[in-house]
Amino acid sequence: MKYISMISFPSPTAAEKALRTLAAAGFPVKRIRLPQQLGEEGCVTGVVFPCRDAEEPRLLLDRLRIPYRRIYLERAGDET
Amino acid sequence: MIYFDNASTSWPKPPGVIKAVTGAMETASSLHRGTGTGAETSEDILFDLRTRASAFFGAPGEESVVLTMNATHALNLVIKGMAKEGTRVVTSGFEHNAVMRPLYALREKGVVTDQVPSGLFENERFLENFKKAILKKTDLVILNCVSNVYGWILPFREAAELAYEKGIPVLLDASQAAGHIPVGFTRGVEFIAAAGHKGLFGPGGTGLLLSRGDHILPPLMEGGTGFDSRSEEMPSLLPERLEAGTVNIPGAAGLAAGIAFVCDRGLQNILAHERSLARRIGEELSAFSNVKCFSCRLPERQTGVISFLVKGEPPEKTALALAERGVAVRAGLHCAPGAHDHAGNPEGSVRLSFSPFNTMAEAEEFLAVMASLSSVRGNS
Repeated sequence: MKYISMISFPSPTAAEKALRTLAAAGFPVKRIRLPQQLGEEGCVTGVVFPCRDAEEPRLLLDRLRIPYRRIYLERAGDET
Repeated sequence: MIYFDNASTSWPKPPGVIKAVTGAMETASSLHRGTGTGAETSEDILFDLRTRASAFFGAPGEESVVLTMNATHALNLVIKGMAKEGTRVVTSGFEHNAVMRPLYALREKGVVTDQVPSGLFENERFLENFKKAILKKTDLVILNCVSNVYGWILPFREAAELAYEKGIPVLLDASQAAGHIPVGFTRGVEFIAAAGHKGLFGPGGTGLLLSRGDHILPPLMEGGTGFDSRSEEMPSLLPERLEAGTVNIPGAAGLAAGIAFVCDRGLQNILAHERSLARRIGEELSAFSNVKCFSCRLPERQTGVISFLVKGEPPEKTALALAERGVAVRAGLHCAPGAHDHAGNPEGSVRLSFSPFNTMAEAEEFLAVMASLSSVRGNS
């Protein structure tokens, strides 16, 4: 996995719905409160999971018909 | 104590409800705001309630479920959100003050309300007059599914269908129906308001507004939602648009457990049990020459709620005599003076309302108490 994708959603309820849909599809998702530096308010609920490239999360969300606001990518494993 | 006042507040609560409320108070913290497991637990609790309530009422999804303080809050959201100057609202004559008082308050803003005339249990006459009422320009129909005084199941599905044919949105007041009879988003139904603390066995201070999502309501209150804080306006999306401030998470946990209890028992089983108690008591009360009992000849038109009057005695006095003998009931106008007027007993009534926790032995004990009252024997 090269990236960690962080996804924001239109509302907390939309985020909760997305979290469960992604988990049911087998993705190791967890909740985060997205930081303001990413253009979101500090406490908005997001979903984070590892991915291979920048396209993967967008295609996945489209395939699962999950409405989202933005996708942010972070390089995985930089610290190590 | 024999508790026959479940139409006010159901009691006792199922053990699962008490456990859920306690559990939430022990584990849940800041919803939509903080971090940590407590905050995550809050998210899970509220989403679980939305999932259960959405499935229970056949709503489009979790977004359709707004947690409110009570049914009155839910009704006010729709009534004050939909009614503008010149709006004409059609209701039944058997509405609760939770509907009528907001409508009366809007009179000075030019909102007109027409109550469909009908007597008690008169489904055919109600529908005939409802058809006539919606021939005139109508912007909103508000219908009580079940009368809180008499347990009358109004023909709300048929009325909603008629409203649908004319393109009129319908708000159902399911306060006395939820947990007793099926209520859902059949054609024409745009909103359902429900109390949490009655037939759904949630704690006091909980209610639900369910929306089909075709009408965007303005919020009754503005405030924090935990997200989009830079915006000067409330979010545009449901349910957060209508949930300003921190919501009642222990209440949500209890209400979700209450809905689970109702689903486990089964609506049909609950209704059959409550009706059997009402029928037994109704038959016996009708046999007292000094008692006027409001039970329907057609049992399918009444839930497990039954009202009566001891002739020549104020209902409050009868209720006091029953309370002194260990039977809790409700007496008076039940926040529905119009329902009494339309049923022809403006002086009020004594109401008995049952739950799955009541037994036939309690019904028999109640009847024995009634037979012991001098006012009922007719020699007071």
